[in-house]
Amino acid sequence: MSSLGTKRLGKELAKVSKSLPPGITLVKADDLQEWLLDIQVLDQNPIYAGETYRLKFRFGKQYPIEPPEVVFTKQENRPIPMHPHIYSNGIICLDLLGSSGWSPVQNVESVCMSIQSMLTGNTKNHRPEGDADFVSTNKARPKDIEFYYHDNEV
Amino acid sequence: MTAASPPTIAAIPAVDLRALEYESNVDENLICPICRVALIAPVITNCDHVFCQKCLVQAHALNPVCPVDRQPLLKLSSETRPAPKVVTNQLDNLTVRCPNRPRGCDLVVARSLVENHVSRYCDKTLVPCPHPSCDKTIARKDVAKGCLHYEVDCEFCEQPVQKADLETHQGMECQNRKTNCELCGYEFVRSKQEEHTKECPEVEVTCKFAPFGCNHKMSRRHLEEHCARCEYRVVGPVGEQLAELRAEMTALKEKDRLKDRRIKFLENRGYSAPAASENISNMNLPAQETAPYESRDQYFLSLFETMESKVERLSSALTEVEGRHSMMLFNETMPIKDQLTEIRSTLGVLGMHVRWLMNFRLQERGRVLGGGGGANSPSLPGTSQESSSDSNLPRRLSDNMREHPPRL
Repeated sequence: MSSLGTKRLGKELAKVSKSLPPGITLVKADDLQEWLLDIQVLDQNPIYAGETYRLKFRFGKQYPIEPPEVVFTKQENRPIPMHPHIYSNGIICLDLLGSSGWSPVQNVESVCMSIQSMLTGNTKNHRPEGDADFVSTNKARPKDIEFYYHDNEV
Repeated sequence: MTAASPPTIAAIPAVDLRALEYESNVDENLICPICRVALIAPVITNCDHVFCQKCLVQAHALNPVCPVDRQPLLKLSSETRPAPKVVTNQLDNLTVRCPNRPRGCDLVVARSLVENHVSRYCDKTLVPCPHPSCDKTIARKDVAKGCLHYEVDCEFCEQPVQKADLETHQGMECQNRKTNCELCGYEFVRSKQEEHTKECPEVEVTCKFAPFGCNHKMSRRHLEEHCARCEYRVVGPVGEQLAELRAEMTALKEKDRLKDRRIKFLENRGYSAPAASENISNMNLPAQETAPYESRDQYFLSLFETMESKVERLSSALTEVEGRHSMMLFNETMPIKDQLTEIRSTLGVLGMHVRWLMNFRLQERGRVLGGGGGANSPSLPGTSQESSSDSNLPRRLSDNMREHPPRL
């Protein structure tokens, strides 16, 4: 990783281990390549009430110029949240995480908060269209997938 | 190789401004939103956002928009300009630590001057070794001493060390070098640090009555003095006795438990095999021999208990079924009984009718047979006896009916 990325991630780590917004907790950040964070939806949205989800961040060499790879990972007690923009393999369709929507001003904390609010505002308890097809055929890395950001309602 | 040109300055790597450590916290407004350190060579966009020039170029290559508000930035050269002087002046005045701090330079200097300090004046800066065939680096202060890149033995630990590193080795690393305790000033060999900490009179220790509640802390020097007047010194011996008693109690409890087990075993034994009373001596057998017996007896006992509870459950189920059946029977017979009484009453009515008809008929016949022997003759018993001699008469039937009324 470039000195820019190392230095910045180090700073982010120091800040993130000290304090995080409510509902977001740091689980593991042993190195500057992969971090795990737990995320909860705090209001009483019935789709997500009482659940905790695990986000996996992977930082490439070009971070923060290029976006990190952010996916939900499935584990015991850590399901993949139901959302019309989240595939059942954990891949998140969010313009913020794509090369065109990303901005180097974003950071781990702001990404977590965006995902948290994306879940909070959701009322549709289903997967994206063609979820089964996508999950079985997709081999590309999340950030290389060209999503078509067709609806902005949720 | 020309000796005239000073090669040192040109060969010194430039100071990485991003790696600098700032002496105090930097104002949030002076931090680049991309690299999150104090701005370096700041540029400002037409939408009034400030970035390090390098950061913005990198971000722009990927996505030609302003990273903060996503306004399109088609050409950096025309849509950005250097940040105002007031910003650069503030940045220049930030104080930083000399990057040679790990090698011993404690200088704190304005950021605008640090590069100059490192490249020209700091004697801890690493410069290429003056020896023509040596490609190593050396601190500037040692440049005049010639090439120091050969090994010598440290006089304290007898390990081979590069001459150039000897000073730092002896000052910071060498385990056999004597050093003074920071607290008491006592001189000891560095490798004995731990042992000294255990006896250093200045090290902070806790009161020896700490287990009983004293949380006073003092240097070891004052420990004796404190213990002599510690409020917990009275509690101390009592506490020790308490601990002793507690230990004794647990031992007794354990003993009691064993006894309990033995008693239970004996009881079970007497119950299952009363004849084997002479085997009481077996009781003194080692535990591992008696244990299986005990467990078997217990097993049978528990088996018996489960059977008992099963039987109990069965009998209660049986009474329930019985009750249900009698209820059902009762419900079934009730309407039958009703119907029977109804039928009985209809029969009685019918019988009455038949009797009346029979009487009527007898009267008729009596009148016919008597040939006008008086209107009251049919009711006389004589007449009825006469008529009864005639066997073909249906009267007999009604007599029968009268003698044996149908029993219902």
